[in-house]
Amino acid sequence: MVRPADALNRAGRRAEQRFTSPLHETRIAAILGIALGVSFTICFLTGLLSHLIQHPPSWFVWPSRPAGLYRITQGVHVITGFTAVPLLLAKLWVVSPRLFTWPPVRNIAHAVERISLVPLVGGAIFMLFSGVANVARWYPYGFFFPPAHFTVAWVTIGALVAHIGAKLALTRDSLRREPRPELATATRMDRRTFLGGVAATSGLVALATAGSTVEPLSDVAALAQRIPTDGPQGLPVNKSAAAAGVTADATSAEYRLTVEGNVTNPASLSLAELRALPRSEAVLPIACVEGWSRSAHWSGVAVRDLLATVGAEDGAEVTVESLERGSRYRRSDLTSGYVADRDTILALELNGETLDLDHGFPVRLIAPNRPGVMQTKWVHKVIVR
Amino acid sequence: MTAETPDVVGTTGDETAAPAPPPADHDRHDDGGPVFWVATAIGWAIILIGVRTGLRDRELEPWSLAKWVGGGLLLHDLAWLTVVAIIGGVLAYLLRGRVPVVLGWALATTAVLTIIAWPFVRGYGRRADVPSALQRNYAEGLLAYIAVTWLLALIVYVIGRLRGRRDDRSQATG
Repeated sequence: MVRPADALNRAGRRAEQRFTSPLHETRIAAILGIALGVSFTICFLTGLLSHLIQHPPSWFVWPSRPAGLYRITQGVHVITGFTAVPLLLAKLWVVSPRLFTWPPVRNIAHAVERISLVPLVGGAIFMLFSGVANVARWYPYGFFFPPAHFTVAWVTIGALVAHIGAKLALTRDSLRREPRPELATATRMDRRTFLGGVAATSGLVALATAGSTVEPLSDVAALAQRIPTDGPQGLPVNKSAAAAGVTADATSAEYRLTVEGNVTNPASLSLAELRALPRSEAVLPIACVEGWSRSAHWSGVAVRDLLATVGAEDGAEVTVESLERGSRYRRSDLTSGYVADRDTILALELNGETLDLDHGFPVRLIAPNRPGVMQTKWVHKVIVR
Repeated sequence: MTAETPDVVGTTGDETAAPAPPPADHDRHDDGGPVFWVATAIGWAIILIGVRTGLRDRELEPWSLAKWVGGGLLLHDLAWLTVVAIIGGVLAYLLRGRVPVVLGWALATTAVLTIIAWPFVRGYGRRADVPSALQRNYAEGLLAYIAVTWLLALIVYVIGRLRGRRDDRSQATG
């Protein structure tokens, strides 16, 4: 009589032995693992940076210079995420026979290692899926994307640390020298061809997506979210006035910009009065968290000049508030460093024309080195602290 | 990346041929040591930070999020790997076990590009009140990239065949 355990054992071994391709080997898995580890670390650090900029704890101060730094870090975040898709699928395919390892658990360490793979693989797949879906502005789930992406990022990177600990010695050994002939299954040519193919696929994906922020690639960026020059006044829009429900308030003849808080002369300025104040100009990018960015020429009133007219103290901090109601991003804060920067502007004009309604008419914030969601549009209030 | 079946093996440059034994050295370092346990402790501490962050966020639905994370894992392991194995198996059967590597690459790259492009092509995120987003012709773009992929694969295949013949001739005359 056949015992169930023996039958399971045989079935498991048969399943594992079905994977006979020489590409299911440690050396290839190690190389892909390193590439994925680097990719996910870059995505995690740049994503964490973006989160800290948008939700700064007391110890974190993000500088206003260099002006285009956020554009680079977020562009790298999104492009690296896209290029990690083929890397991840290749890595999972290479190690797929391990899914059928028999016996499934040999000892406590092995059990812990295998359990750690659940958050690693599940987290990695979710991170890339939700990231791509976010760039496609598609949210098929009920929860809010940013905290979900942020939460699973911690889970994935934690599982990655555990996995590195489990595979460090094996990775080191497999890279240090060619495996012993009896263990080597793939030839050098097999490996080179396979890894070259993965790199080529990642390259094609980068080419198809990077043009949202790397303008010279825009013409070949068939899968980019934006055409950088398309939109009112040659600049894309992330949220229109109609979508924000501000059209009536923003175009009202009653519009006033209120400056209040810790100032000696609170003010309520009409658009004409704002236009009469000294002008500042700057060329600054809108850099969206979704990875697209585009520079434009902005003109308006520097926040520091406005604060000087209302008698704010040196080192003041500011909150600007939008006409938009019910949005998570209706307010944004400016630290004293941002307030002091000459290029932190309450913009009235874009590329030499009055701001388009979809770009924040009558007044929008534009400042260097900041995510687009913090460049508040349709500003109606400045609160000084 | 390859769509090649687990049963297909490659040893001859651009073509796959005879079966080989599965690698045997995967498990040598899995039994735990100080590095393993320290990394595991740090890693799970970071995971718990993530879980705590998620549980504290009022805009997150932790149970729903967990279902998406677990669902992605199951979808990959049960559906995706099965499809890859079936396609590879059919190819190996049709081509009598000699599946050109570039064919596997072209198939896999087509699949990856299609997966990434799908939400763009379908226009799930398009909104009439945000006209400057997602306005490219993504179906056309995807087809163009797939065409480039297969063209590259064809070029690499032809070059490989020509080199193979030249090598054969030089061996015969040498």
